[in-house]
Amino acid sequence: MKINLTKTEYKNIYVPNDDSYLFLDALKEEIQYFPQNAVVVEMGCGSGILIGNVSKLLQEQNNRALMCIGIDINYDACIASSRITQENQIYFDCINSDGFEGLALDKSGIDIFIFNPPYVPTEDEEVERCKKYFYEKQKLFAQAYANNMRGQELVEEVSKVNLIDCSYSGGKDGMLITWKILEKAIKFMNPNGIIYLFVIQENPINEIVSFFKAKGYEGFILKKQQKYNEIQFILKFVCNSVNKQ
Amino acid sequence: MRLLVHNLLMCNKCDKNNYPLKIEVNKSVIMELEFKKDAILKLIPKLDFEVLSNTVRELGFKQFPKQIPPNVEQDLAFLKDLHRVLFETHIMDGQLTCPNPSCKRNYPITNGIPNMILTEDEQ
Repeated sequence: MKINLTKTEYKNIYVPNDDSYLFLDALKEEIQYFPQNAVVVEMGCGSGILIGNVSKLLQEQNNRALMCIGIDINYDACIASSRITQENQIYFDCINSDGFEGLALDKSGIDIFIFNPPYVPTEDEEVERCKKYFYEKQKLFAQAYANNMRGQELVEEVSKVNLIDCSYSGGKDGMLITWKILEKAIKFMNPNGIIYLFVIQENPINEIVSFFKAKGYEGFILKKQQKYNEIQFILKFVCNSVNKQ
Repeated sequence: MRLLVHNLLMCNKCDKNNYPLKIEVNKSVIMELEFKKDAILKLIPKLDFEVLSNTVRELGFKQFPKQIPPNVEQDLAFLKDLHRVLFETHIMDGQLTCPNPSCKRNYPITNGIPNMILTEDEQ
């Protein structure tokens, strides 16, 4: 599956890296366990490498998922991700949103949740800066839209604010965004649903495992690798409880 | 953005009367996708069909049924229509509007992407 990024996108969105490929390897092996007609959601789809490949494999294996959805806070990422659908004849949908805001996933629920979060522990200062850029970008979008900019012109205008920092900045413990997202995701998960999560050694892994255990999930380490000073893990949490939380 | 996704979107600002969002389409394209009867049948219970039907008919497809036809598994014509509106119709440019009369917030769809993000003042 080809991923073609523009020069600007190379600066503005998270270009697939070791963590992405580790995650991709894990998901490729896990596809066989996905239920038929699953609702697959990726939070923070970035370039679309994960949701794109998952959609493609499901399509090819005659188990086309009911819905594959990629959500990203960064408009530039949504544009890059959705380019995959056009260039590769793979179909998933992208939504530009801040986490689950605006998403009424209650009826369909989520069967497979994929999340490579902003996992790097960062100082409050950096977190505040990310927030500032985020609002700036949205303001720029609103202005450009109100001025009737559309198509490529809109894409170029909006890309003038760079949200790349938001893709890795995780605040204290690298968990600021992760906790917020997981708490909401859990509410949408269908019985027997699976959550795939990327973490590093600096993240409070025990706390994450306990959190899931308390909600009736069993946790597994699917992958582990060391890249430079990071020890990376792909975790899998399977919902065992019969009742939806 | 496909109508499949529209079925999942609601207004961020309102707690009540925030679903479904009204759609206004400026530009849409059809991208063909292989029809799989089983997939469509499995999708139907996961959707708010009334919402989908109202939306489709408002967008001009007046003959689209208001309810799921009886014997739907055999109704190939209906299933193919459903396949076309859900999976093949991509709204590239348009707007989503909150149904709450005291809100009416517009969420733009541009380059096929719905933007659900609120500005700083709206938080």
